[in-house]
Amino acid sequence: MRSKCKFLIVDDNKVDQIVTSQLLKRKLDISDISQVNTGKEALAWLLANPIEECLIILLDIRMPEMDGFEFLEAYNEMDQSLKNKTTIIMLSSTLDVKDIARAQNHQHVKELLSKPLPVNLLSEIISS
Amino acid sequence: MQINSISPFHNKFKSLTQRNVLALLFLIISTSSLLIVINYFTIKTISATRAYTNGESQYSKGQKDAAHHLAMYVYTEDSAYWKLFLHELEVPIGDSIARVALTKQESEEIARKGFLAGRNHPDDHHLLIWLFQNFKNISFMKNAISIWKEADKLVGKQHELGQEIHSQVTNRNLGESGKLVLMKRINEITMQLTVKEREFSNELGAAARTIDTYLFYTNLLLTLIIIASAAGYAAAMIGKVQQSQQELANKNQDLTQTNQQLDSFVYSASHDLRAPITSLKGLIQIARFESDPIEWKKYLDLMQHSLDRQDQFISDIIQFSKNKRIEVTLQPVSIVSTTEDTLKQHQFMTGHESLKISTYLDVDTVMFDPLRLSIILNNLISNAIKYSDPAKETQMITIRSFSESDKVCISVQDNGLGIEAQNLEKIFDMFYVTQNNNKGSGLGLYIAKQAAEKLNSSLQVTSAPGVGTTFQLIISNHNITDHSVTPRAATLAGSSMPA
Repeated sequence: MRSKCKFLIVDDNKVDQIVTSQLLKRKLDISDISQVNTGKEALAWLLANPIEECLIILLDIRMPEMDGFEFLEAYNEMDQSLKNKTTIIMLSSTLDVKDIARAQNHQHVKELLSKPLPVNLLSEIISS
Repeated sequence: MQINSISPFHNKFKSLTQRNVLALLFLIISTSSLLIVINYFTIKTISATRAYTNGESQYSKGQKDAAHHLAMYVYTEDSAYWKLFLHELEVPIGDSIARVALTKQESEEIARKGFLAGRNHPDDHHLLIWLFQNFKNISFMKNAISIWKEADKLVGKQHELGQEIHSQVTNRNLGESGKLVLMKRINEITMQLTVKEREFSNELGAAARTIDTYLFYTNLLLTLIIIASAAGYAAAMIGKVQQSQQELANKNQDLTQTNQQLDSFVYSASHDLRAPITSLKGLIQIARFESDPIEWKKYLDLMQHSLDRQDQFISDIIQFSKNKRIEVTLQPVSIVSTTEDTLKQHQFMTGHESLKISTYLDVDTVMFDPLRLSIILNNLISNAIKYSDPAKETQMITIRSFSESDKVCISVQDNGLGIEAQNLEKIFDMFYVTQNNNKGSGLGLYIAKQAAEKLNSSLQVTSAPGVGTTFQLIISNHNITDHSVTPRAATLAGSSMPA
């Protein structure tokens, strides 16, 4: 478990933010957790916070102003050095097949997980 | 009410083109019938003229042969020639009998017998009779008949001459010089007859040629009319087909659009319905490994919040469905009582206690749909309350109704958070939410706008971020029954405004 990794939760739903961060804290003992509400805020956060070791982004799909996929397009333009240190995991309550396919086939998305955050799966993905 | 105003116009237009199409069809049929009738009679006329020409030919031949035989009789005094003369003269005499019978309008039987003697084919008899009876007063026939009459007189003279010769021959009175004189006399009559015969032929020939020309041009004209009418009819039909194809294409497009809307709706709805459930599952999970009751309480509040949102979403969907499906009923609606009801429903909304709501309703009764008015006011007032600015000392909502020229306006104004200029257009979109909005489904304003448009009204918004927002419902062209209500400021329970 890379305890030095930063975690960024991108989700407009306050309740889900609380749920996800509590799960990370209590079950995986993670302390460095940041939360933003939209894709735009996530981009701003990335620019403002340099990554030393690694970054794991838990990205929701449906958000106002800039949704998960739109964020990924903008993320694509970012520095390769940043991208090398970052793992993106999409976290959503969607049942839409198109969304699911799009997320799973996306080059920057490691995995699509269903809410509420399945911590065991997450830890497996991170340690691999 | 404009809802069905397109239909009567459309029907009128349809019946107009339908009449035109029927007129064209009628034109084609009547012109064709006319063509057939004209052709029948014209061809009959030409046929009859041809029969007369044939008849004239027999007449001339008979007369010429008779003259020839008479000359031979004079020369040879052989009674065989006398018999032949009489025999051949029967031909023009027969025609003469027919002419007299037809002129005097005696029985057709006599005419037929005459024509038969004149060596006219029996099948032509009805034609000869028909032409005579129907055209005897018309130029060419009239002339031909009078020429015929004169010719017949000459034939009579020839007959008399014959008789004279016969008696002379029988009495053996004939000398050489006498024979010469007689020959000359025979010749004389024959020459005169030739002139008449020619005139008769010419008259008929000219008539036939003229009729020919008329026939051709009439046929041409009527055929062109028929073709033009048929073309017009075909064009009308093609037009109709194209029109219905266009309508079909439009309907298909509408259907595709509806399907797409439905797809996107189902997508959004299913996500928004599921989201609170996943939130709740997460909350339950983290509550399990929590032992602090204060944290539990916090989680229970969050669960309540999620369920409230889901509840609200479901009623929004139902409202959306009602708006779409229930027929609009136009009736006098009281703005005052609808507003009161709506405010009552919102009495227990969060943050309501610090809110000051005033109403200035100059116009009470308006022709509208009660369900839709309720939906619109509900949404506007909900939003005003949801987006009120807690940073301001007093949060105010003012509801007004007033009339302007031929319109009635209902406005809901607040001093809340306001809307950014770039989002002002999008707020009416389906499922549009802003980020400081864990409070809505995104359907409210969409539904309100749809409801307004169903009633030929418009929903407009002006806003300044940080200052406030005003929504205006503009109802036009309606029968306004103005029960002027004295402007009153209504304050609801919980407001704390010192006098």
